[in-house]
Amino acid sequence: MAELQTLKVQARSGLGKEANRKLRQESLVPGVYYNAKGENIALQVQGLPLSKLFHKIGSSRVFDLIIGEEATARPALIWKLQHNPVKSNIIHVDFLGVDLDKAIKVHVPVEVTGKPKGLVKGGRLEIFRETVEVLAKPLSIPDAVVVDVTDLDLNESYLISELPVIEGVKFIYDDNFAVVGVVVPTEQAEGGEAASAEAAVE
Amino acid sequence: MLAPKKVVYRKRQKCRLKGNARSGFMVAFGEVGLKCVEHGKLSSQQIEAARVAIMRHIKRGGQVFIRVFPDIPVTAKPAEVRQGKGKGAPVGWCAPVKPGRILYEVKGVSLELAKEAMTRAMHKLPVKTVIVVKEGHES
Repeated sequence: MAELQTLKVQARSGLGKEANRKLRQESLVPGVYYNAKGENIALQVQGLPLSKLFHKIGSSRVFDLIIGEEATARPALIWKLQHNPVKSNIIHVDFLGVDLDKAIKVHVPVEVTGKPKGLVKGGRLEIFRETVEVLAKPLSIPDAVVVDVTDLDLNESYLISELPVIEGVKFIYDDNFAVVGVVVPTEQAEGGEAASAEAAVE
Repeated sequence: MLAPKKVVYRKRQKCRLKGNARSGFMVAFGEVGLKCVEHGKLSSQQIEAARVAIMRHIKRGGQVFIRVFPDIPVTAKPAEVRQGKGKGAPVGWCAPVKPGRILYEVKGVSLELAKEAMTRAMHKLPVKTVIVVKEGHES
């Protein structure tokens, strides 16, 4: 088993808009840790280490969360990030504490490899679902579901039931939807004759 | 050009804009987006001009998504008419935008080409914009 990444955070006492705005001015990100047992701890974390960690592990890989001076690390996932609409920096983070022996549902990104046959015939590779939901134990969650699309011809697609089997991972779905396919591109109008506005103005 | 098919009221008040976008501020459908960073109103002509600029640059193969819709009527009085006597006649449509709003998205083309196309679209718009790339598509 590879060693888990570590993130150090501090518990915070100030709650609400005013306290959180002050934290953000100091490049700190307010956050919260919660788990299935009902624990709920308000936290603050340095913005830069958090964004570096998120780029490394995303939201589907477990890491060790160390709160304050605690001796034991808590395995957790970066569950939800909120961004500033304009600057795109992180303004809030949710950490989900996980039990390493219990399977959880999590969304995992889809990655494609290879050049599809249909691409040569003028088709376009379309990823219909950027993530798929899986049920797995936290340490078995894959970084990504890798799909080899080399054999895909025009108007063909891979359904979720046809994705490669990963040990210890179960795909969750109600409908057997297409995940990735090669489609015939439709021409988009280049000129300005898309719709007549004059009629609607009257 | 974009315009509503039908509306309940032909004329309405101008919208006053404040605050940042509360939705539509993440690149959702494409790989590269054009983000607005100031308040403004885009006319349907400006939205169309920027779309055409993007389409002409990326040519074939890509896909363009327009994330704003001009659904606010704009009115104007005729020239050389004194003030009063009611609100002017509808002359077009506009889309109010707040900082953070994604205006266009492109997918299916190289990052470089998409950025060039977005730069051309920038010049057609009356608001300051920046190019944003979806996470995981930076390289």
